[in-house]
Amino acid sequence: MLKIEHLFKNFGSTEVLKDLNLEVNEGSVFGLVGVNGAGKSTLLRLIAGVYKPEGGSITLNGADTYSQADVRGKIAFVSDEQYFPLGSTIASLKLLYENVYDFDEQCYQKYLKIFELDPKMPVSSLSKGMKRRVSLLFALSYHAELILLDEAYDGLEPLARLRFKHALAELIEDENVSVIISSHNLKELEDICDSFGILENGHIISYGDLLESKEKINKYQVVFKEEKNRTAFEGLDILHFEKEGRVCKLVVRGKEEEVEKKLNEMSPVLMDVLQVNFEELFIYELESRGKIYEQ
Amino acid sequence: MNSKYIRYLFKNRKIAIIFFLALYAALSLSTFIGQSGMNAGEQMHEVMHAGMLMSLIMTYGLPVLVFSYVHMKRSTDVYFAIPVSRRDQLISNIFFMFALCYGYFLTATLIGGILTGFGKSLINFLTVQLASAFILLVLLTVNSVMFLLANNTFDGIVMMGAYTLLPLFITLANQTFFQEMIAGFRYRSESLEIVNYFWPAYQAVEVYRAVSNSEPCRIIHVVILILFGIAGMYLLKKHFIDRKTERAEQLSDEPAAYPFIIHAYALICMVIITCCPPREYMSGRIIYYLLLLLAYVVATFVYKRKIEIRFRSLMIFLSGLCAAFILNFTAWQTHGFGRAERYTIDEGDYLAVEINCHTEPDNIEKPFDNIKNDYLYMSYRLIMPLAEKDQYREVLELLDSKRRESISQFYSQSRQDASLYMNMEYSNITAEDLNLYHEKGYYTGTNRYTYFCSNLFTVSELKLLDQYGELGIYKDKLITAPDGTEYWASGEYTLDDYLAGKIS
Repeated sequence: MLKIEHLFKNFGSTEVLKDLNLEVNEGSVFGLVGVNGAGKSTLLRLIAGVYKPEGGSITLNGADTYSQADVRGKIAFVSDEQYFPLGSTIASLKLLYENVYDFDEQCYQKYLKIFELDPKMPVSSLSKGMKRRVSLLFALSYHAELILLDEAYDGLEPLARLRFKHALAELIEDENVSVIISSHNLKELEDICDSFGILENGHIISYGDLLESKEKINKYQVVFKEEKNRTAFEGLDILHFEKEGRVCKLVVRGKEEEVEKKLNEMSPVLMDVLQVNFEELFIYELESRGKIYEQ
Repeated sequence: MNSKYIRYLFKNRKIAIIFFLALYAALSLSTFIGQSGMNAGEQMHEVMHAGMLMSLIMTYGLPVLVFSYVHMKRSTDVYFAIPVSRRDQLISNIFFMFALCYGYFLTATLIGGILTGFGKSLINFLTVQLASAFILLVLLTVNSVMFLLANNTFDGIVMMGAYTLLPLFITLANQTFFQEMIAGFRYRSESLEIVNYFWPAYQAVEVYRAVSNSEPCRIIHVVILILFGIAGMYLLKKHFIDRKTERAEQLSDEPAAYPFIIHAYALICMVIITCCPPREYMSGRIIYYLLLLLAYVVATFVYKRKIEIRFRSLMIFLSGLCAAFILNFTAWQTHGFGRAERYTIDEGDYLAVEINCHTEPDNIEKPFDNIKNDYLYMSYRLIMPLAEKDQYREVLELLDSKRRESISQFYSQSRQDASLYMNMEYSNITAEDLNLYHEKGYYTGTNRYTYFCSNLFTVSELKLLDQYGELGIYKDKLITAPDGTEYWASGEYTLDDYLAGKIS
């Protein structure tokens, strides 16, 4: 299990992460989302042991990922900025992984085929998407217990994305691997993640089981006999409110039955309940935070 | 040290390693081509020198190659995430560089050794190997520190160059300051040795030179190199093991990087530019100050990657210039902090005085500088045993009055071109130096002071000098042959010849 406790990270005088706490269970696929500059890449680099935290701790199965080098052998980190030395081929890149990691040649050959890569090809001649495949190939070739993917989907075409998702699903099922994925493509994350965390201003402002969280937030479209203002819905945890004449559109946090009961007490003419997706969940969470900040 | 990581380092650069191995072997063998006149010992020396030169160059190239991943954000994501601790990475990287640098040297010298029978001295061969391994390790450590002071590869290379050349520039400033501010100053290696103590490459070469020539090696050089090695290891811990990864690709704003280098070089240039009589501080020198300010702005641009003229920077520049003015003005007013007066004859066994000047062809009391026409050249040498200095009192008083006149001329506002001056050189020499002089015609001496004086000796003073030392007068005359070609004809005369009008 990955455990982050009271994590602090500064870049000079800028505080990037502030007292961040997080737990990711084994076999879980955790979607890390946040606006640009929220600190997602920094958090992943800290987990990978690339950055040293200013305070707090990050442990994988009890071992500190920065100070205990061995534990990093169980972490695969695919950065958003890939590094391929000049003139390198997939075969030459393999040298590092087979020498310093617990490299599995069979696994490597398997994913080489799945990702349709030629080991003799110079990496510089590959497209962005193909380069991304190369990074993912090595991340999957040494039986990591924790895979960190920083915007790993970017640049992958739909078929490759599907193949990679299948590969991940297989690893989770067979080896109980934990995965943390950061991406701006929330629709993609929704398909694969079982838990999520929204990072903003150095904190995880919301995190938990994705399905549960989605169930807690619903969209209601209600028609009344006369016009109603936001103030009329006191007692509901409204994340978003829109009004068009007598039609009110509300995004409300809370159990569906309880919210419905309260709305029914207001004698609506018509009421529709819609499920929110991950992207909407993210937007409404941030929007509600924005209101908090405005206050 | 991590054996898996070392294996990776070697495998990853296999082709380059083989290429350089072949290059060293070829270099070793090439020293035998066309060197038939050399004996085995000389040939072995040639091989060792060539190998050492290559390895010294490699001590600068290898840190750039091996540590450049620290300076790139993308590569830190790969290498700092691997299951090899930074400490192990550092030790492995140093070992890898050392194995190449020294391994190549060993290969080249072994080939040379086998072909020459180890220059007929296996012990010398082994001593050189030991010394070379030591100095290459120290230089690799120090150069790696220089490279790691910066936060990107380009700046790392700039830091290596800047720190390597810094002692040279300090020497230049030191030399200029002494020559321009201290009357009588002459190049004295001992005054510059202190700068060399801060120059690891110089110390390394000194150790290698002494060991390879089977000469006794000064322990101070070895001690300094050991201190550099220890300091290097400490700084490598700071700039590699404890390094903040996020420094990669940032401006090199560590205090020891650009902030120090730019201001150190600026101050050195300021000291050099302001080394002149106070009346010249402004006249004709404004252009140099402006050029230096421009260089300062350019250096700041290289550092910050943007043109930025901030009030604070200008103030720092002006403060530095003021400090240089104050230093030079104080040196001027105090006659080189009193060093111009420091000369004493009571050192060594003998006082040696050499005087020479060009004079008008018909007036030995007047200086002359136009060598297109006829002139006289006066040369005087006095070697006085200090034990008998009372017997020389009259001539010593004359020489001392001339020396004082020279010092006063040096610090006068109307100091003129030195080519018009009479050159007077004072040295303290030992009996050993004197023997060398009798054998080879020169002496080294210590405490050497050279004075220039625009007023030459009068004939009566020359007569007094002639009584105590060797005074020669030389006449060089430009002759035009009937075919129109010109040549110089030379004649040697005594003072008596001059006074008798025998010089034509």
